[in-house]
Amino acid sequence: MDNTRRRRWWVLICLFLAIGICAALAGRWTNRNVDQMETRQRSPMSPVIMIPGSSASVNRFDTLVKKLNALDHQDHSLLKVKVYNSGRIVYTGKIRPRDREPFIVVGFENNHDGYSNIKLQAKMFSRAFNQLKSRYAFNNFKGIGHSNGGLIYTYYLEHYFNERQIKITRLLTIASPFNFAEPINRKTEMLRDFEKNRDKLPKNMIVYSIAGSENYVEDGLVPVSSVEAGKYIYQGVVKSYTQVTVTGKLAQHSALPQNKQVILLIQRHVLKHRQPQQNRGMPTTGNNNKLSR
Amino acid sequence: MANSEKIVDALVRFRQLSFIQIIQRTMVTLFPVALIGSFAGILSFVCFSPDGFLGSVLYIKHWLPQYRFLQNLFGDVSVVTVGFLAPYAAFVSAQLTVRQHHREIPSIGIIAMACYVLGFYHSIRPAGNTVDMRYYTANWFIVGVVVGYLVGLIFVKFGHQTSINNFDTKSNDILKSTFTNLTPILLALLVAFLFHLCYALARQTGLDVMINQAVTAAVDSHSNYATTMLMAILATVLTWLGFAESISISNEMFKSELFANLNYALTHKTSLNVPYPFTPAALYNGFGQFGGVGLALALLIAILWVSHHQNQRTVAKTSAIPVFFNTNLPLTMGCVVMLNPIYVLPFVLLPLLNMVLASGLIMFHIISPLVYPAPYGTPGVLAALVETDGSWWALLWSLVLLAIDVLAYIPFVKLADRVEDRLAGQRKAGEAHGQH
Repeated sequence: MDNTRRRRWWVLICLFLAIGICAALAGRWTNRNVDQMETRQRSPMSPVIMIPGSSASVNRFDTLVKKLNALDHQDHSLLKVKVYNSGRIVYTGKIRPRDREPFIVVGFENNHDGYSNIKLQAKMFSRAFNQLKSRYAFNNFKGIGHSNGGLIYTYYLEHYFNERQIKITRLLTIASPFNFAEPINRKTEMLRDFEKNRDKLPKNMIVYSIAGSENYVEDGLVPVSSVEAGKYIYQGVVKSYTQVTVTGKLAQHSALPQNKQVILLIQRHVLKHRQPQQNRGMPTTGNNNKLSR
Repeated sequence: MANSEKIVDALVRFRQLSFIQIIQRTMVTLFPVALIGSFAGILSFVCFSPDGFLGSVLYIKHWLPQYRFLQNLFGDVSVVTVGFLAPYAAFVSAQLTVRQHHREIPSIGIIAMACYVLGFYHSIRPAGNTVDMRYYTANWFIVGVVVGYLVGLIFVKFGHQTSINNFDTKSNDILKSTFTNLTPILLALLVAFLFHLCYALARQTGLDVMINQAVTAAVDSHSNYATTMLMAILATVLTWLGFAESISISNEMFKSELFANLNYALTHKTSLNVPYPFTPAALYNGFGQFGGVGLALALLIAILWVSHHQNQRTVAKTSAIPVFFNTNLPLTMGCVVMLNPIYVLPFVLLPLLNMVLASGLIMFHIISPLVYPAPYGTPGVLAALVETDGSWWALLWSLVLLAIDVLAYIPFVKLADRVEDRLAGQRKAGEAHGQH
């Protein structure tokens, strides 16, 4: 009988010790976690995160940002993030305090072409994004990808982007060859993969795809039909998908980020759209539910 | 008293049904595998994962850079143990079935395992080929046992006693004895192949994906109190039957409601008037799963409290850590909870009782609704604390509910003890009888 009593004491002691220690740790964790989430929820920052194409560096969008700043006088800051193959992440430039719409360019040491590299780059982007989100408490962002940058974004959104609190509101791809240089009756493995996983794309995202055209067929490098293949991925899955073709001066593939029309399109459709005001006191509307993917 | 004797009699008779004997012995045989796998799983998913409970509260990411390596290292162990438990169950239950009929057929276990794997191994998909590994996990345990049992019966009917243990026989004889069992081997594999074919056709036409999508669409709609309760019943009953697949679905259920709640709570900085205070995730994960499905932690405490069976207590002691972190598998297997009619009532009804009581507490604003996220493997008793942003009241009430559950489990543990005593007595009598 004594034995039984001693055993019962042990059960109680162990149980309360385990619950006590875990409860203390868990209480501290949940307080911090909820604080963090509340800060993020209030944050007015909505960065534009850009990915350059293959063979390009983090400086790819310098002119674009300069021209945009000249256009809207918002003094957007420019932060450059370079991810090395070793996993090291190096920051240059910085975000001005109280800048609500900074530009962040994420570039890679491995900036080569090809589907296998795009997969690697998407993974590296995911690393950089995870660092960015813990450094800056934004709850929504906009994406711009030039050329392969748009493909990296697509792969990232389908495979890595799984955020409870952070929403991608817009995605603008510039001359992204969703079917590489192949004619549309010969779909590449990448395009087929993109189509297969399209259900994982964020439903509330607004997507613009810009094609450049020098001669009705291509922008000097990428066929217009390959850019237009984006419809097989985005159309009908995301909130809206708009295809724009830019022609004329500076419609060449690599010149597109400096193209006046492209810059205007970015200003009009990516920037300065109403901040999803943190619905203070207002019920959430369908398109403002930043927690649903 | 006479009435309860009758119940014990009935339970003893149930325990002696041939299939029940097989399943219970399979569970006990595989208990060590389940235990090791559960420990590895806890280390991998709860301890070394930044999304796991211990990984989160200890901020493992910040001071243990090798956490991914460790996570995968132990994850592998958990995959080859718990992750393959269903085919192992087929192996064991087939061997036990032929032993039950006093045969010895060495190849039987492997054939049963091959049949199980053949039935569910598919590379056929309209778009791309992937093999689903979920059919092999402990969630499909009962299916493995049934397959093993059926293969065993085929061998009992058509097979012949063979022995390779006898090293005096010439190799010629061994070969001959293997050939004598060719009929049941082919028959079992043929049945498995036919099943494989039907399933392959379903996959080819995308039928399973369509069903999956329909289910996902259904559970992604809005919940109500009745569906919440129904889902809890479904999860507990199926787990009691040995089929735990439904629970993995329920984690993703009604996601939009969870997001709406969290969104509301974060913007208003209070969770008092969230739009959906009674979501299944909140009620069921918060109050219906102390120690995993069926309130295994309450059962574990009850066993340690009153059971006078040393074996039961040892099983309970060794499974204490996994059960604390909501992995109830070692306890349900080692203490033979699955398909054990003694435990069906508390296993299914106590979670419901908890949920009803808890929703009363929430309704009268004694505790706030559970809206904030909890990491994977959060101990059931702490889920309410975590999901209310650290409300000590919620923890206190969880402990009160746990105490009620333990008290409710105690009579059933005592009943189980009596059945064990009776069975042990009969066994002893049988042995004595055999000696004479």
